[in-house]
Amino acid sequence: MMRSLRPVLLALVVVPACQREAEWSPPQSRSAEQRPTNWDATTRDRLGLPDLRGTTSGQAGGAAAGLQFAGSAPTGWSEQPAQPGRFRDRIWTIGGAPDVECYLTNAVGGGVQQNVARWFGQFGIRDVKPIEALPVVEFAGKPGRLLELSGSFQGKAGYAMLLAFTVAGDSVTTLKMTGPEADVAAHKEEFLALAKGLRAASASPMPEAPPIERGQPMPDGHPPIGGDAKRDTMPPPQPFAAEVPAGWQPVAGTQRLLHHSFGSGGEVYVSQLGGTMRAMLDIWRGEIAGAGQLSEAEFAAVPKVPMLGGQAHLLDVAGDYRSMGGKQIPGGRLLVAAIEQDGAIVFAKLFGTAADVEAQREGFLRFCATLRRNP
Amino acid sequence: MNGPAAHVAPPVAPSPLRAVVDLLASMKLTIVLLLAFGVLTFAGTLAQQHQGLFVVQRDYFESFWVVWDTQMPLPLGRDLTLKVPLLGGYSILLALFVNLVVGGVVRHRWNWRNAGILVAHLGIGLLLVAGWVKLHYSYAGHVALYEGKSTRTMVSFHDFELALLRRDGDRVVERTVPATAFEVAARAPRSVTLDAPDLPFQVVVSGWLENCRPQQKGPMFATDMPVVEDGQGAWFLQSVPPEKERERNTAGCYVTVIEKVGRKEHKAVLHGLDLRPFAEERSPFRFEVEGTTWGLDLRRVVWDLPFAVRLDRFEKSDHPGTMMARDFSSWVTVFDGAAEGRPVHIYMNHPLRSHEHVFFQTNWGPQPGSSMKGPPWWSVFEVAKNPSDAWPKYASYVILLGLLVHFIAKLIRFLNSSTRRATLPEMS
Repeated sequence: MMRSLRPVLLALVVVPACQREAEWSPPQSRSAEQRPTNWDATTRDRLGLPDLRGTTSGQAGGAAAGLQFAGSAPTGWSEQPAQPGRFRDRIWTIGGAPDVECYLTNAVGGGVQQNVARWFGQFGIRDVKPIEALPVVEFAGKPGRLLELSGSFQGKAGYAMLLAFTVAGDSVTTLKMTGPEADVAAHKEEFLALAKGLRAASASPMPEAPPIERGQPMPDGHPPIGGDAKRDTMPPPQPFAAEVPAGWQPVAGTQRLLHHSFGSGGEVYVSQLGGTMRAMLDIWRGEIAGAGQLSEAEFAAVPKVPMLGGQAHLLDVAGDYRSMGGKQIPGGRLLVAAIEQDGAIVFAKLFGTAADVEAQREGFLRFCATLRRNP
Repeated sequence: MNGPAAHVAPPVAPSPLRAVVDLLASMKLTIVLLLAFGVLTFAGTLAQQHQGLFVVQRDYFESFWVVWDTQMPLPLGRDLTLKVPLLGGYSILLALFVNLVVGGVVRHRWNWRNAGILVAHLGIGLLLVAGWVKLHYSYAGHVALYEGKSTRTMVSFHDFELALLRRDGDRVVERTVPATAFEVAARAPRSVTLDAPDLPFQVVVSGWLENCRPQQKGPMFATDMPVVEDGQGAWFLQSVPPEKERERNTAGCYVTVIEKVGRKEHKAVLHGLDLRPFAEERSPFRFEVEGTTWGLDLRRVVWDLPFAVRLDRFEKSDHPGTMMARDFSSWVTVFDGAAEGRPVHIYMNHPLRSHEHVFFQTNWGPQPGSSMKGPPWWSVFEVAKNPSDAWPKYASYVILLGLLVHFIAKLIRFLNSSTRRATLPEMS
């Protein structure tokens, strides 16, 4: 009987296992009504991504927010069209040095520590120098640092990099030149001259208004401004609102959202960035000495708290704190509630001494729970 | 005294064919299959705690076999749970159908006494055939429309397809491949190559993700995923854990178009986001080969309707004092040739049936609690095309007829025998 059943059993095993190779269906013509198609969409539109650059408080991209850099190229250099989508807000090439790339990147997030580590990593160097050890140079009218590296750059041997950067909060503005070592060395002075000559300028089509003088009468209905307020320190429009706990003091002249201070040197603010949750949590943990990166299990176990109608990851790390902008709090503690919404990571960040943070923890969680977007 | 010697014939082994027929016709087999189906239903119901309805239906009831993870921990080690292999719904119902045909129809004597049973068995068989036809030859999707908008297409809730589009004036010439071809074969590090003799290029699909979101790669963070640079930026897909409700997943993949002449490559990230009812227009990844404009679009499977449908009005009423909808319905116009169209009111248990398609009112928006507020409203219809749509109804009539014939025949026989028993003593 089994013998007679064998073909049947074989068919039962073989037939479902057979799988046709993937192949296109025959072509069929469709009308525009059946298949409305936009052939000219940009990649960003095609993928439904918001333009994160310039949507936040200087965290990612002053260029789109209205900040541009003026400055003429050295002799022999020629400017190329900007590629803001590649974070290249100004690009130069050098005649006679076709392999040299030089470009300005305005205000990317991630913090100075992470970015410096990344630049060293591009040359395969794990031993990252402290920022304080880097020489000071003038960059766009501000004191900046100069990083010089050489070796194998992204698999290309005999390469070098010159990188001048300034830091504002979590964001870093850079002028970067890479190319064969000899070419980079030959054009170092021109590079430094370019860095020094660049100036931040408003991209607004409105003409520059004269500065507001102390005691100058304001137009009717103009909101009162503080005695030291200047045009470039006016708070940005607040896309978020929340119930602020008693004892938090608003920080004046900040580009961050809902920025407050508390206790002895503690701060709390809201912001948003691109990137992935896992990477951002690790970046924030990097601000606490010795915290290290999260393992898979630790990442999965990160507690959640309500925020913006969803469940936000709550990072809570204690230790010596050193912000991406260089602020240091020995014996500190960091709380970050972060949630992914609309392709961005929206986060509320609180840091201070361990005692201050402990005292503000409940208030911070209420702050997060009541955080909402302004219409 | 001794009677004639008893001649007992030696047992004759049945032929293999007879043994198979006996097995397939066995009532015991029927009982075993029904019990197996009961166990499968129990397991499938429990599995819905951890998996969505679609996945359970596919893995438990449309499969030949399934391994039921009971979620009961075993004392053998960490994370080990009791897993039980079960026959899938497809196997059980197929076997039941064979059992029904062989046992109920072939082996039954075809006479008037059994007529009702035979008809009832045919009805049950028709019910099973209807299920098989629905599984293999039907499809279902949805249509979502704002008031005043119309469409000629429906899209799948769950399934994706890769569409290759060629610009042909105002028209589009398209070819498609169902995404089932990529779900396993194109998961990293594997890839699937699509080719056709009349195409000047090959398309390599890789990095398939069941649920993901696209991201722009900035210089400030690293990613393990492949990053595609296209002159407008650097892009990658961020994997997102699949949702239990499969329709909430949005698939994505990487594609590389390799020209057959010159081997030039065009790379892109594709993401199957569907924006209906806000936008029906699609934005494919565009590339040019030999002066022709081509596009690649990862999208939910699209079916063309044999008619156009326009949502004229949507109405809902809420339970008093709540934002919970008590009743909602749609007034639509069907354009299937007649210039003015045919008005239809679609509401609960009153679907639109036209050209083998059935439109059920299933949802609406914006829902309370969302960031948007209506009006304007949009209405969502589940649309099914099923050749065997009405067969269960006919099968029920056949079963009813068979049982009626059988019971009436039984009743007549009973009455006849009772009458005979009652009259026999009087005669004696």
